[in-house]
Amino acid sequence: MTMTMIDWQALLASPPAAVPGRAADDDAGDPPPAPSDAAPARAGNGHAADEALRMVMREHAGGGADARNVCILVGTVRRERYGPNGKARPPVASPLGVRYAPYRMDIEEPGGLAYSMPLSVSARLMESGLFTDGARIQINGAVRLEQTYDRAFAVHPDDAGLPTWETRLDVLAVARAPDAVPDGSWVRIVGEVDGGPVIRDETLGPGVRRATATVRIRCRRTLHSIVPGARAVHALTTLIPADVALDGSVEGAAALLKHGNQVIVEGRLLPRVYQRRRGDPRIQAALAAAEEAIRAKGGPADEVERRVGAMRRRMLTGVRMTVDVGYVELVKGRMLTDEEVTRLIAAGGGPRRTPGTPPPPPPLPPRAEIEAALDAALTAPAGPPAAGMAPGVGAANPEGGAPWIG
Amino acid sequence: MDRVIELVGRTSQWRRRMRSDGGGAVIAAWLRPLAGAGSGVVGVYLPEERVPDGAALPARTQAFVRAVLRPLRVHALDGDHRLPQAPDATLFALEAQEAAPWDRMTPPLPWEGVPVVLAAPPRVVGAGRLADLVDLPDMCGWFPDHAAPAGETSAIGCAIGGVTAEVGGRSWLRPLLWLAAPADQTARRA
Repeated sequence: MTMTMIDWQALLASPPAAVPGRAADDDAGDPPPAPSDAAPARAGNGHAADEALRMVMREHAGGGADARNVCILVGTVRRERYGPNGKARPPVASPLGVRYAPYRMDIEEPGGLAYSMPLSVSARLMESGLFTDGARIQINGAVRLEQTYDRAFAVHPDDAGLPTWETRLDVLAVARAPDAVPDGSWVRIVGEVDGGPVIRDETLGPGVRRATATVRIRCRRTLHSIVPGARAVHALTTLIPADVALDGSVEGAAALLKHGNQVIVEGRLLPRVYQRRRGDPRIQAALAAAEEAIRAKGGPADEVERRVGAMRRRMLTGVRMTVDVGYVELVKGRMLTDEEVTRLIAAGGGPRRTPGTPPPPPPLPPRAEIEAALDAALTAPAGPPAAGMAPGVGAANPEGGAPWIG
Repeated sequence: MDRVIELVGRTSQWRRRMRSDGGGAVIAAWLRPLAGAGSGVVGVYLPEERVPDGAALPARTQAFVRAVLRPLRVHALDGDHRLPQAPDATLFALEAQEAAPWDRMTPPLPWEGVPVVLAAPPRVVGAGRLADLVDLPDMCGWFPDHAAPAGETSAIGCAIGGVTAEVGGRSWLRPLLWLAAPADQTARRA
């Protein structure tokens, strides 16, 4: 997942005052709650959510935001660096002409989940002073799926790379995160279930599995003109991937398993590691090109093999951000019964979407066997084709060709 | 090897493939020659920049192709005929200068052929002899009979082709250059 802060979308919110109630607690000298304390963390997130919603709605009144697709992300930013001297990577220009500085956002949730995601910050936004190494910020925006290209799979300079779908966050507001709010994310989506679910077994431990459904939620928002009083209204439809556990931990999860149900979903962002399809011709080509480049550099044989193996593992493993659903509310539609859910789990998902994992390619036969088969095939051609005529086909032209054939 | 060879044959779908040398993409198809100096299966390609609209190429139909012998190794796609010596790659032997739907009247002109040097003495395979070529390492030279004198080091390539075989769930390709002894070729032209 990449977050790109675009000038015309991002809005700098003034740093909010301390969260009501929390400041009073701090002033009273009470010790701050431990990060792992679940109840205060929920309370802090609740305050943050309310404040974020208020901030987004206030700043974008009549504009692009509403409460149908809201995401709050709290974490620590750090500038991406490279090289042994730790120099900061220079900003890069987008195709739209905006210069972005590469940052990363580290999120360490109280529950132990920790991940990092790239963050592109426009040069103008950097001047706000919020983006300094180690600063904790709160980002409010909307999530959506966007098709992009993975440059790691480009096999020549003009190749854009592997087409892939990425979860993006359109940033609407940025503020300093209150100290009382722990790292984490919160997502609220109001939309319609799009298509059937993909059911898969999530391995919790040796021999212990949990059924998890991956669904897509279609969210329609309206975007008003930037000019007050203008009558133009633009529809903005986005798809958001969401995972929901089917072990009964999420009440109403069955509402997400039926196409067309209108739901309200709350959850958090969750990185999902997946394996790319190695049978994809583009992936095969990129792997072959990268392997050739490594072998061309040379070196000890075992070192080369180690680098090739590492490269293959790195390129075949992808990470996609999804919404981990923790609350579901059915607005319109029908919730599946327990029997229907059981049948769905047994069938591995709905008919609309099926896992696209191809079977592994068959093992390569011995080369001697191939050569023998080709030698046998060589005995079929009778001889060199005569000028203007291929061997063995002149007399029988099934399509009634020119008279000089045969 | 820039003498133009003209072929008439049925083409497969033209698809984009990446060159094995990292030099970009080509648009390529398999051709089953019906007439001209070709036989079996021949790979034909065009540089991508010359085909801004790939849909204009004659696909799955009888096509008239003017090309030069310029073998190119590319990454194989699913369904491609693969090289035994490089299972992830395949070879397209001809770079097309022109590929158009065939009007069913225009005959392909005879090919002047190309002189080649044999890398090693030919070995007997079935009714003919097979030889590795110095300048075309991914192709094999094929003497269709035993008539040519043994021990020759050069020959004239007089036709392009390829044989395929299905082994292990994949199709394998041996690109061929039909060979004739220089004396035979001279006598044929006379």
